[in-house]
Amino acid sequence: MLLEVKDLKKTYTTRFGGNKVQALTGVSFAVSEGEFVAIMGESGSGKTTLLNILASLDRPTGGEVLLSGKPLSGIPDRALSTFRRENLGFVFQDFNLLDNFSIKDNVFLPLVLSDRPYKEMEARFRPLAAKLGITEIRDKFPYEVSGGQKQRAAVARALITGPKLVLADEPTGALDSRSADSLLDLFGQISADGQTILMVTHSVRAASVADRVLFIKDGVVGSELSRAGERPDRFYQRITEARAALETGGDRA
Amino acid sequence: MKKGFYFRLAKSGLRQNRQIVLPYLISSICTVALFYIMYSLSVNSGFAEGMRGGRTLASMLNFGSVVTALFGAIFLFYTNSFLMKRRKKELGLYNILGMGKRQLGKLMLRETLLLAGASLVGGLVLGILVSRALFAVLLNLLHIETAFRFEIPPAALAVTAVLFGAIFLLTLLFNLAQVHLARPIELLHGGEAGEREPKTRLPLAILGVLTLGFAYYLALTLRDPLNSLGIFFIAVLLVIVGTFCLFTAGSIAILKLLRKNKKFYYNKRHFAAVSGMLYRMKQNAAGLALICVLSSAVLVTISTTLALNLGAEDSLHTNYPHALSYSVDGVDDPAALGTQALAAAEAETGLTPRTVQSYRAYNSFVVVRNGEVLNSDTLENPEPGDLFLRLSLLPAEDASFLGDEVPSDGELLLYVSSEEDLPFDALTFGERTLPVAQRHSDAAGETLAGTVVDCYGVLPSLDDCRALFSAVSAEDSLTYTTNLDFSEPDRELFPFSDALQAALRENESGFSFSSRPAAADEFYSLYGGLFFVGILLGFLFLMVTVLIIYYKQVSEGYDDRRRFQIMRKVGMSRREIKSSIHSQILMVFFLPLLAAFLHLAVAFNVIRQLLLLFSMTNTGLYVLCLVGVMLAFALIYTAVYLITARTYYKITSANN
Repeated sequence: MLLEVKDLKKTYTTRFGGNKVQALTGVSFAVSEGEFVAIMGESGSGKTTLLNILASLDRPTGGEVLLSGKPLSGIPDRALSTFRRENLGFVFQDFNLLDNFSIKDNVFLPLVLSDRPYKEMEARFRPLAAKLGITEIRDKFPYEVSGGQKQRAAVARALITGPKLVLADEPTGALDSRSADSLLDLFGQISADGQTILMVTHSVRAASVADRVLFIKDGVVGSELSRAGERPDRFYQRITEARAALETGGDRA
Repeated sequence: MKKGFYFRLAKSGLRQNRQIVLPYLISSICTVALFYIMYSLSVNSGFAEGMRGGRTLASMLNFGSVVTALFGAIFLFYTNSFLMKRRKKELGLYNILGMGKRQLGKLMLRETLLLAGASLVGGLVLGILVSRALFAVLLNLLHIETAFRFEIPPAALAVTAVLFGAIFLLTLLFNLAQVHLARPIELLHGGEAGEREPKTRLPLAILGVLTLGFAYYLALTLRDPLNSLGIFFIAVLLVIVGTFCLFTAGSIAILKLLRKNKKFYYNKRHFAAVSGMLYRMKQNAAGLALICVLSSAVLVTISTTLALNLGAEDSLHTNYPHALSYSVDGVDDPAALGTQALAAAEAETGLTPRTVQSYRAYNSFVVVRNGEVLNSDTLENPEPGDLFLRLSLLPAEDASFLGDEVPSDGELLLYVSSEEDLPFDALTFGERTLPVAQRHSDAAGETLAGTVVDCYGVLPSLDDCRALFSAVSAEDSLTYTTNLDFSEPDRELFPFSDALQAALRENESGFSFSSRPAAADEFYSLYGGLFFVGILLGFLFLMVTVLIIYYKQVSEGYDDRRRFQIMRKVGMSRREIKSSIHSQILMVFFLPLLAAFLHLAVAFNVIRQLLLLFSMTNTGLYVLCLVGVMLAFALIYTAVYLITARTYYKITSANN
């Protein structure tokens, strides 16, 4: 297993120490190498908390996360950013590109932080840019390109270090439907190339390109669906139904 | 529509945007106050009270207020465009909600009126309060004797109000034009459009290099202190223009070059810093240039006036080597009259000089051209290479104060101060050419104002002196000079000096009289006044510098927060962020200081010559003052940097 999440708990204490809010009450799942997993849930279900913990941006109050069998909790704070840089790639809803860098420099950023030689950066960039269709806009600045192009650049930035795991937080959230579709196709291709992806989303359309969908509700994994070779539109149907069932079922309980 | 609607709308709009309006208001208030203080000082009646050098100083201050106005206008325009960019969205919303461009214009007019009114009133009040406080502190704490008194000149109030009213009007017109030209949807997204990467403006960079180069050339090659004031002003103007061009265009050109260097640029330490600086240089350059110019101004004013003040005693003794000195001429036997007057004064006051040094001499101002001595009165056009001498020809028997050497017949023994070395070994007086033996003596006066060499020519007899003198002068007047020094301190010599002058006045002879005690007052008031103005301006510039630095740091901190948050997500550790911030701030911050130090080093020559005009010849003292002031300034600057860097880091690293 590439990623194992065991009984993950996270409790937030409100500012004055009074109320405790349980964001995650015991999440467990596993992602094998090369798998594309989508995590669905409504706002407030603990999706973002989970992603932050997986991204090592936040520490859990209980449970464990293992990446390639190694626990994240064993990494000292000062090594965390290096760990993040070398093992994880991020794609965010609002792209998070830096205005002051050209598209190419934005993609280079993690490599520069890892002190890689420029030649290697170029060598890695060229095939990736061709695959993601950003070769033409490599010297443009983020404010000069469209949202879809920005998100492709962000994907390139996530992939250029060759991470074990790509974490995507609502990657289609800020895109129009055409750009969203083409981005999702891209995710499908990348996944087919063997990249492990964990995507958090509330869009059924986005989830339907994944191999497996986990539903989070009230801080636990409510249920899960596997595509098992189905076509996305069929899978889409099943996800819609499962979500509806989960939500109405949840209301009753 | 109800009366006052737009006013209320404008007020609430400003209040809601106070996060960006407040810094704008503060900076405009400070600019107004700065200008008012400069201008009111330049018209202070302290200058009118016949202070020597007062006119020069007043014109310097006047020049300073022109520069302040210029920079103030640029600064206000820059902060206004910043404000406007943020406010476009709101205006766009009003536009879409059905407010026409005319109504928007009305709204903006009200807003500008409110801002301008607050800035002017606040600025003038602040200016008056600050100048009141500065006067109180400086006059009372430092016990500087000066003719300056605190006052509120109505002219300064009026000029400030009109000038800044005009500047605000211009910004309003500029904003109106922007809104008028834009479509509503553009307004709505105005604030979000990314700041475009600045273009390399090569002509501007070249202009900067040229102006600064020329200014440096002027400063370094200046030889004639009498013209130095005019050249100094030109050089200062050029330096300001050059600094401005180089900071705006040059910095961008250099950063782009750095970015082209792949090895340098794609490096953890430089990557974020270079691109970050490039990105914000457009907004930054003006502020940095302003800081640089202000820093230079602080350093120049404080160091020179400090040196003058500390060197006042020196200068006094340079100008007045003897406590009392008088010369009698225009009569057949001036020596008799001179001795008589001295005896009368001694009898009246009961004071006896410690040393009395008298000599008969023929005095004249002459010009030496190619070894020939010419009468300076008949000379029309000076030529390059001309040497100006104040030559006293005296007989050997009267020259014991210079030295005991007796010149051989037909030889001129020429005494000059130890710093001079005249470039000739013979002089032609009319038909006669004499070999010259040069000697140094401390009793020979120093070079006056850097151009006229004071020298004494000793000849075997008084007849020889007269013969030589008549060759270069139409007059034939022997002067009897007496220099007196006392054991008593200078300030007790007033009765003696009065008695002596009265005794001299009784005769029909011409006489000249110079008294160090009488001059001391004037000297100390002049130098005290200069020092006062220097410290005042220094404080003012320092305050503005600190304010700009702080404002920049805080406003940029908010801009950079998001960028650093992204970097952290992408895998930059807090430590890396911190070191990147430091390298960035360090470069941005210490650039103006380094440039200011460079300006000062180059200006050294001009300043030294300017100081000569104020009879300040002690270059060592000036260097000491300069280095001291530079060190103190660097310390303050670093302290400001450390404080603001901490604020900046706090802002940028705050979570969300």
